[in-house]
Amino acid sequence: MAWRYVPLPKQCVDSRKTRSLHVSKLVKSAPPDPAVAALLPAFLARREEDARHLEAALAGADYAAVAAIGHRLKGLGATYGFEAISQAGRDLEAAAGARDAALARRTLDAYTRLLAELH
Amino acid sequence: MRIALLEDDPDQAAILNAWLTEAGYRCRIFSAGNDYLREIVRESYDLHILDWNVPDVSGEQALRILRERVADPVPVMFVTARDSEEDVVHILSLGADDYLAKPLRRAETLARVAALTRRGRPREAPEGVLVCPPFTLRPGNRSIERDGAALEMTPKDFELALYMFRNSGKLLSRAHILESVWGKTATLDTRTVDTHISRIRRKLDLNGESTGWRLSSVYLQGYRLEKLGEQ
Repeated sequence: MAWRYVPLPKQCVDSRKTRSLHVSKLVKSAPPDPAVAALLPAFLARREEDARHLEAALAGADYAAVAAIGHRLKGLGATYGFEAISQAGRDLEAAAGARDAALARRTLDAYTRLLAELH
Repeated sequence: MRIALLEDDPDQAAILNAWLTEAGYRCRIFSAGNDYLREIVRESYDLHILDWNVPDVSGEQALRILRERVADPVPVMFVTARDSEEDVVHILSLGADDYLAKPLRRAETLARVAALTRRGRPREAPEGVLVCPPFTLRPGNRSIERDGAALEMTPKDFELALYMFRNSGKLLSRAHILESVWGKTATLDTRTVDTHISRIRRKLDLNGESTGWRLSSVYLQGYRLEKLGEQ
């Protein structure tokens, strides 16, 4: 099913303080930015690729790769209106820095569920 | 306004390009440091936006090289997900004019871009009149005066003169001038720029002697209008 972009009222938009990876919070952070709407399909397809690369990196305990992907997600998510994706990136970067496989696993599982909700 | 964007992430590049284009800027995207460095020695831009982690040459190295090789103090904005105070201070001390931590926000990004591109431009009166003694340029009625006496110019020559005075002191490539004065879609040769430049140089006496302004060509790079006696 294709993801449909629905701009939300301004009062629902800015949830940069969101800390947990919940779909409800992610949806609330979607901005009414027409430029974002046009770019979203490609953006979401690449986030799926990131999830696959994260699986492989975790399987190989490749923390450098986990950190690199986390860094990218941190910088990208909120720009496209998804603070929860940026938060996942921060958590992945932290997990990689601490070589904390359990935290990286939990974050990746939540991130994967979140992407599934968007499709 | 022409912006060079060094950014290897396709999603970051796409959204920045969309925001900037929508705001009226023309954006050239470079996804690797080497391509960017080859370009900056032969083309001019009004602003450079650099990401830190890019292939070939990092944004940090690109900034050092830009400051070494490009004499004009063109503004540079660093855009990166690295947000520690140490990183910000380091990049600003290397010569960046602004530092923006990702994730980016549209309104803030555009406001900072506008602030940076405003710098170094001559101050214009509210109605847009540009006074560059002995010249006064009035965009409203496309007229130019020298010591109060009107000079005759074609509309295109006036636009070119206005553009050069607004950007006095800057080295501008032919392609940059062509895009800015004739528009991005112009199918003209850059030799068109040479023809019009030599015409306004002659009509306005921009040889440095009688007016105090010199419009010079810089070999293989472009043109620069400068007020004599100013650095």
